[in-house]
Amino acid sequence: MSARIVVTGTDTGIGKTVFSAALAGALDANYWKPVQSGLEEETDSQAVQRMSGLPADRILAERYSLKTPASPHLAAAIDGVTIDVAALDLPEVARPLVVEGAGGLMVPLTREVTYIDVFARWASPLVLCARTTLGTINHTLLSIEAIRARGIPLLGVAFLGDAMPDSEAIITELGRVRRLGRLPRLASLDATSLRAAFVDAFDPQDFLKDVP
Amino acid sequence: MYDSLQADLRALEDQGRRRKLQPRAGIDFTSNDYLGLAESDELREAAAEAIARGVPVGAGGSRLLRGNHDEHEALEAEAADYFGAESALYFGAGFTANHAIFSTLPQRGDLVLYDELIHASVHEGLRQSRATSERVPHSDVDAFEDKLRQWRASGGRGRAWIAVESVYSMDGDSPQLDALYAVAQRHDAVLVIDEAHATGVLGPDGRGLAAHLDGRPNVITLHTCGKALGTVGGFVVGPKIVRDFLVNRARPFIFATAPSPLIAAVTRAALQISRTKPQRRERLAELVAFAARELQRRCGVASSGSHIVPIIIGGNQQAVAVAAALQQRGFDVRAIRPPTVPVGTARLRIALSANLSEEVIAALFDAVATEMRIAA
Repeated sequence: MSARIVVTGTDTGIGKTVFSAALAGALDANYWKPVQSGLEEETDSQAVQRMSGLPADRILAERYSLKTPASPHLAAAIDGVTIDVAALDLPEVARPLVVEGAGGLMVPLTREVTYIDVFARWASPLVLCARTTLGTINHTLLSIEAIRARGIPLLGVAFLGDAMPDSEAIITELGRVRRLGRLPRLASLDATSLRAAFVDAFDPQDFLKDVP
Repeated sequence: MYDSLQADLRALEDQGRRRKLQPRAGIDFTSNDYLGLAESDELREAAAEAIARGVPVGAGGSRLLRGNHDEHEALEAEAADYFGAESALYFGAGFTANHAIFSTLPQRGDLVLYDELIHASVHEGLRQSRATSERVPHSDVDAFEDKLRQWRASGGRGRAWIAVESVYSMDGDSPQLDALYAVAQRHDAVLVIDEAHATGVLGPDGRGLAAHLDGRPNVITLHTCGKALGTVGGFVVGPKIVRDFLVNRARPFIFATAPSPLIAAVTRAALQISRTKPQRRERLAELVAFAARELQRRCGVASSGSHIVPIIIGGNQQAVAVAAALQQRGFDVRAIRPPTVPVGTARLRIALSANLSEEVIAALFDAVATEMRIAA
């Protein structure tokens, strides 16, 4: 079976979708966003297709497309649907699969279940996206603890933003976690620039190997 | 006089491997004219326009002996700009370009690691190279790295070269180029990527699957003009030093008559179409997606996902029988047999083109499904 990689983040709006697009492009993968909240603006799937340069058929359909840009549990309630967490299985595909969660680890999908519970059931390796700006050390270390507490395999941390060598170092030391790389802020987010930047910052093989 | 040649041909005949040239017939599922440019009005007009402005048909000599024409230079400058590298050098054939790369660039003491499915032109080049070379299991990134480590550990001091294709011609699959690049980076190796089947078809603006790597000092790409671009020839695209070295040292460049300036002029037009008119490429992408769905639905076979779709039959006889039956029905589909492909994987190779239609592709797959049942 091909690698299945779950991309999550310490917080919302940190560039997780840009990273997912770069990773999916570099691995020539399929991309899946199980739950999309908010349909007014470009959805994450649309953004990933645009930025990854992948053909449209690599972007798998969302399982839930919810109108309101809010936490999935609330967006679903507004639309009058309930997210069936038990049926939220990873799709079987021939290529590597990049799965993107929402916001952070403890984003609720229903009034009982958060994303991290689903990640634990999938048991696929996680990539934790973290920003480099002030406050990231605390957010990232807390996220790592939550992941470890549930026994979810963690590939490592992907930093996003300007270089902050000390923050990146203290996170990898205290978190006993691998630094996968750092995607800098880019002037242009077209597919070619993004792939070029990803190649400079990460080794795609790091995402295809078993978690040590 | 030719007894031994006759005996050799008879041996091929006995193995069912003797080849014969045949006239064109049937709907084209075989050529590499992926965008349908080869017979297009656009290229015809470009040729007429070039003739009208006085571009000569023949170059009259090698590039170094007066055969060098403004059209060659302009084509190379435009190709370098399009693909995003310092320089490009135009050869009369993609085969010759690949041959020149591998016979000329790797030096004594260097190591060339090549994918086991690499094109014959690379093997031909390596036969004349002073470097040592080693085959690597298909698209196995870790194996490339392991072999590089072993070579260094056993005292290898030269430069390492990694030879891969971005789309393999008989399987239609692609390697993890970024992972291979990371390996090349770690080991100070040069990554040579044959984009023959991707040029004009895949990547941003048809620049190939390694478009984001072009322009890096340790990346050389090979782009062909005889496939999607609809003319003939090939470019070696990379740093200026590579071009300079080939001009000085590559015998296939130095001693061959320069490519036709007229064809160079038409190829300039083909590059311009590829760069500015995505319609044919987008149409082909639609047909590729359609074909992937229909191949699964009608034949129960998974597609490669690219415009080169192998349908593995297995035995040589069955593959030939199925191909012959399809040709009878008016589809130009060929059987590909060992040694071109591994033993036991004789196959039909379906090449899709922007000139095809959904109806014709569906009809082909229905015919394939029927003929596969009959042959089984």
